[in-house]
Amino acid sequence: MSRNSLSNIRYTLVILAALLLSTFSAYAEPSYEEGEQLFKANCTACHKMQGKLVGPQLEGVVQKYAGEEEWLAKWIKNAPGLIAQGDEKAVALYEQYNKQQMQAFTNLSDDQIQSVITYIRDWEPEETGTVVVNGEGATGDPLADPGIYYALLGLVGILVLIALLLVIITATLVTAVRAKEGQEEFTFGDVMTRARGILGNKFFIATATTVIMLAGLAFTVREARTVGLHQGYMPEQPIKFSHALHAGTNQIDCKYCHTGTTKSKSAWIPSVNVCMNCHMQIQEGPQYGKEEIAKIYAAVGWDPDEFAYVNDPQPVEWVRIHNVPDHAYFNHAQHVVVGNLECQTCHGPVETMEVVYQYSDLGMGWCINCHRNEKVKVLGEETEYTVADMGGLNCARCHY
Amino acid sequence: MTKIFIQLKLILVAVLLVSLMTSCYSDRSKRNLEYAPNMYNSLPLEPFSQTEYWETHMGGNYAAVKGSDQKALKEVNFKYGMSMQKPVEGTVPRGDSWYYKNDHKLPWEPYPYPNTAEGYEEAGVELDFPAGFDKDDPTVKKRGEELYTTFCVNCHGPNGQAKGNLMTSGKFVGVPAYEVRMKGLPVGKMYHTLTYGKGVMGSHAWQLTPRERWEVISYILKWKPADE
Repeated sequence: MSRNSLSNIRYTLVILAALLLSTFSAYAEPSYEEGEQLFKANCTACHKMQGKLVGPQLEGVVQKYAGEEEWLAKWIKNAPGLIAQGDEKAVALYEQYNKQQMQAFTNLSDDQIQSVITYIRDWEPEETGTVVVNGEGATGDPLADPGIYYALLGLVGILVLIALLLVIITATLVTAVRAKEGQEEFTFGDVMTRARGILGNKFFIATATTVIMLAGLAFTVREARTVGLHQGYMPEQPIKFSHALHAGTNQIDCKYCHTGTTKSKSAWIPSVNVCMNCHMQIQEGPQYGKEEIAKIYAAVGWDPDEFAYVNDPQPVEWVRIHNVPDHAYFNHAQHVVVGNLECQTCHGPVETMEVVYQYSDLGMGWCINCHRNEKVKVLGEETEYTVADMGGLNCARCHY
Repeated sequence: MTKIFIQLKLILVAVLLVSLMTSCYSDRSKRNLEYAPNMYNSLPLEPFSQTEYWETHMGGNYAAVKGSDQKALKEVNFKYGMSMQKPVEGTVPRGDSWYYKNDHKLPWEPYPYPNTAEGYEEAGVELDFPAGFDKDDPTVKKRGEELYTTFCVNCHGPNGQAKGNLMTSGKFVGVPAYEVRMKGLPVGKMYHTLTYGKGVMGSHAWQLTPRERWEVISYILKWKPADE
């Protein structure tokens, strides 16, 4: 091996080492991107850049502590430690925020904390070019708009006018032809005489009477059967809560809010604090913006700017949809836990309903049908027996 | 005369045909006609009902509590006229006191730790799985898993990595993965958090009974990193 090639190798090694070093030093430098990642992973549970969450807002915090970056880094790394040491500034902050302590982040290295500080320092609000969805248009149901019915009515009117026009033209033409052939003029009286001939026919009268009576009977029976059943009942609720969004898009389990389905007779309507489990943070919805969520805040007495409960809570007056008559006993837990039924079996595709309506008629025939057909499950396994086989059709099973 | 009858008949046929197409219950924002509503609506207050609910919402002919008694009821026993009321402070549901202190069962004592930073620390030191509660029992863990997939999975995710549906869609932020946050975290603190909430997590005491809280904890412990 020549001396030349050896020096070449040495040269390459030096370059490699330099490269390696430079990457190392680049890594050690605080980076905005790394800070962003760390911020999202560790800080967003309590802080937002703009507005108060559990902790104060962070925009401008680094600027506020200009010249004291070292102290700020210490605070981020171990706030409880600083307070315990009796650091004056730390204790003052602790007192200012009602002794709400920021947790220690000893798992972060000093470099990582510098990255977080860099991110907070350089952060700027995004240009919000968001499309504001119009609340009216967003409801999306064209049939709810009365204008469409007026338009239809107008169309029908125009059609009737055209029909009348055609009749008049035909009548004029027929009269003209008859006059030419030397016949009598065709008058309206003629038409009535002919019609009376048909309508006065006894067979026609008998048939018409029978048809009318049968139709009336069928109609009466059908309507009488729906008395007391509220299938399709779809009242307007005080808050435009969308099951399609919560149970459909967000896939929140029905039982998260209707916890009672596994525990009691009633399914439970969630108290507003359950809404607050998510809506403490989510202050704006995709459909109605802040308007509907503000109703939750009003009910629960929450001030989103202060991030605290400030007022007395007020109840939300939801309108009850499903009501099994008082003379029949129905128990949710029995059907959901023991019977192992899906909610959708009785309530229909709630996860697609923008506004909830009563899906089943909840009549006795409907109950009995299911008790006759549904196979009983024992420890999750289907057996060959139906509910009826186990006495599910006894009067006293439900009426007591 | 016959002419008039014939015309009347024609109109009748038309009316009947049209009404056959529609039904009496056409306005679905209102309740349908009810025969004998006092058999439908309960005289005693049902859970989640209102003292004057039937009067205002269900047709106006029936109320669990009538007239002048209503006012008194609303002010004394049923604030806002609701049947759902907060239990008296410190009430413990019978047979449902499932927190224990230093292995000593205190069946009739409410949860003793306040919702403060000190309470959180104290619970961490003193609170543990109740005596007689086997956290390694497979049925307990199974129940815990069911509860987890109902109440926690939206944020904390199916693997405890905080990759739940609400997190991946970016609607909710700031939930840490268990493997990060649970390092060295005592179960007492977990119980305290489930009871009162912490940070952006709300209280789940409404949804989970004390026993169920311990069941969930026994399940999520599988993601807890081993203590060094």
